[in-house]
Amino acid sequence: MRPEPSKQIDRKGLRVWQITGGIISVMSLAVLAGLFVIHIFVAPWPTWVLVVAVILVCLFIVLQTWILPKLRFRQWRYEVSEHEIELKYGVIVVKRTLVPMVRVQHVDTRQGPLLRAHRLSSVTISTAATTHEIPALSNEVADELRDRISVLARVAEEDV
Amino acid sequence: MSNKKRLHPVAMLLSFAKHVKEAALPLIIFVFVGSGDGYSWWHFLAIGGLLAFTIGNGIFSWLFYTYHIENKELRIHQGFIFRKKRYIPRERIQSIDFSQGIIQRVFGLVKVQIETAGGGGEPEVVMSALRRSDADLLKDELYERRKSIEEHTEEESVTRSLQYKLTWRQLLIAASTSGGIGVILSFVAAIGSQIDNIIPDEFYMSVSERVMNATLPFILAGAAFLLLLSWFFAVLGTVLKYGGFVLSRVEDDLIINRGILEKRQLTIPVHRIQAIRVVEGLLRQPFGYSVVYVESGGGGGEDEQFSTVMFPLIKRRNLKGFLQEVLPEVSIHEDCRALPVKARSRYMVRFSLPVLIPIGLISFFVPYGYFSVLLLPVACLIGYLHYRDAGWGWKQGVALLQFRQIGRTRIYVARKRIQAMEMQTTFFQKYRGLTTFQVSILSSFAGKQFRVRDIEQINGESLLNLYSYSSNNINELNKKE
Repeated sequence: MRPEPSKQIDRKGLRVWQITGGIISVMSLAVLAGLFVIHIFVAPWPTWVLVVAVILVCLFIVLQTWILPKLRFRQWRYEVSEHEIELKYGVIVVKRTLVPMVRVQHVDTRQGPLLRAHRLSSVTISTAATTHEIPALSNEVADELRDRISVLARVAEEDV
Repeated sequence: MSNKKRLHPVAMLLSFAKHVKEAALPLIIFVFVGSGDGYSWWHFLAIGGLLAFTIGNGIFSWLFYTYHIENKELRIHQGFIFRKKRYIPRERIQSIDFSQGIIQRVFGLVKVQIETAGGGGEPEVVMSALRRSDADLLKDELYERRKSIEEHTEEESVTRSLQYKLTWRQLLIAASTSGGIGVILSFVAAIGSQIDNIIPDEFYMSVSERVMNATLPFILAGAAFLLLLSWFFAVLGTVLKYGGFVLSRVEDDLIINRGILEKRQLTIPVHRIQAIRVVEGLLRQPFGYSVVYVESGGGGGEDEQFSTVMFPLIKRRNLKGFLQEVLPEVSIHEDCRALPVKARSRYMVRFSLPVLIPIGLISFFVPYGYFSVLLLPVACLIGYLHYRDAGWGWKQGVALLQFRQIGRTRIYVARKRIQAMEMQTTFFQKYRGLTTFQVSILSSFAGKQFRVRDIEQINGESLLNLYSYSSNNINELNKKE
């Protein structure tokens, strides 16, 4: 068995995902409201359509604001060693990715307004063919990680 | 070559022809639709102005397009109003590609396309017309580093250059079994659906009446004729594209010459080759024939999935010897492990499920629609074939991925060409201890992913271990090899 990566992302990331989920939930509520506006002012829907829509939206909100962020947070693991970066994440499809240091082309940290408000950053690692993201690390950890990967990627030499 | 050079003046003609071709449709609409009450002087003025502008544009863009090599970079200056300078370092060039269209052939010129990694399907540099000698000079300059080596070992290089020619027999086999039928069939169908706009109404009426009254054999014969016609065009297309195919290995380059009407020459530096793809098409597999593609950082169009045909037809049993001779850098092996039996049902279900919905709909709405249930065993069979032909292997640092994509496909990637490796496990796969295994390589179009579904989870992990660069794993790797 290959040992799994061990480091977790920042707990505050869960918060950010829940807020994002909340924003998407508000949008889905707006769509639902639109449905009711059509029902009242334009042409009435059959009752079952409304019931199904309400149930779906409720489910969606619960998933987006509570279950999915939680599962996503629980699944996320990463490990950066001298020679490689290993990631494990995903709720429905669990992905395990291995990126050798020699293949790393560049590393970025970035943050949107939500992440910035929580003093978080994401680290993106690009190879010549792919891009990988470690989301929601605290600013210090992210900066340290970016600098370390950048140095390691430069040091790593082709051994083949 | 530090003095600035221009393209051959024929480039002006080419750019003019290109613009006319692009403007043809709007112009036709303008002339025919816009002339409700006859032509007036401003029609001619507009067209004349457009023509003058196009010619002027051609002349100026030729005049202001220069290229030269300085500081080991290809430098291109272009544009009159919007000046553009493009500098491409020699090391970044993935491929240099010569081709000759009909106009170029008349004047004995070549079109040069230079590609770097990434950046989508379009080549970074397109020089529409260069004198052959200038083009060769440019290529030599850009490959200067290698040329200096060549001078030292000139006698050796003569013996080391290899050539493989595609014989006429091979070409005809390749053409007649090419999978391009489907594409051309849809093309013929598209034309067919447009024909009713062209032919006169009375004729159309009488024919459609006849078709209505026609018996089934007549319709079948018509379909067969259409099929034959499209097959003929597919054969013709392939013959024109791959006629005169010569693959040669000169020093550290693969050089491919091909084409009858439009001649092309591609140069692929061996160290740019990322992977080798061997495809046995449906019609070719029974006869043991396959096509060999190389995945390199540049080159290739959409029809070749952004890779390059290295040889259009080769017998399965000759493949290994052929590649050992032409590309000894990538060691090919036949060490392919099949999938576990528990993956079989997953493959069959994966192909049957999408068929269920149309079957349900057809059975419900169409009389005798329930005969469509017969599609189910077909889907299962296809799933079974996909299962049977999937596999993976790893030997001497070369990963082998085998899977079916209509044709049976094998991918060989050296460990150092794999950009990232990934295991993707769904809930159901985890339950059965299976996983989907994926490698990413560099390609001219973003990156390319190849995957084999439903291999044993343990095998997936050992593949990750084999790929891993951690020092303890390298020891393990050495022990295994």
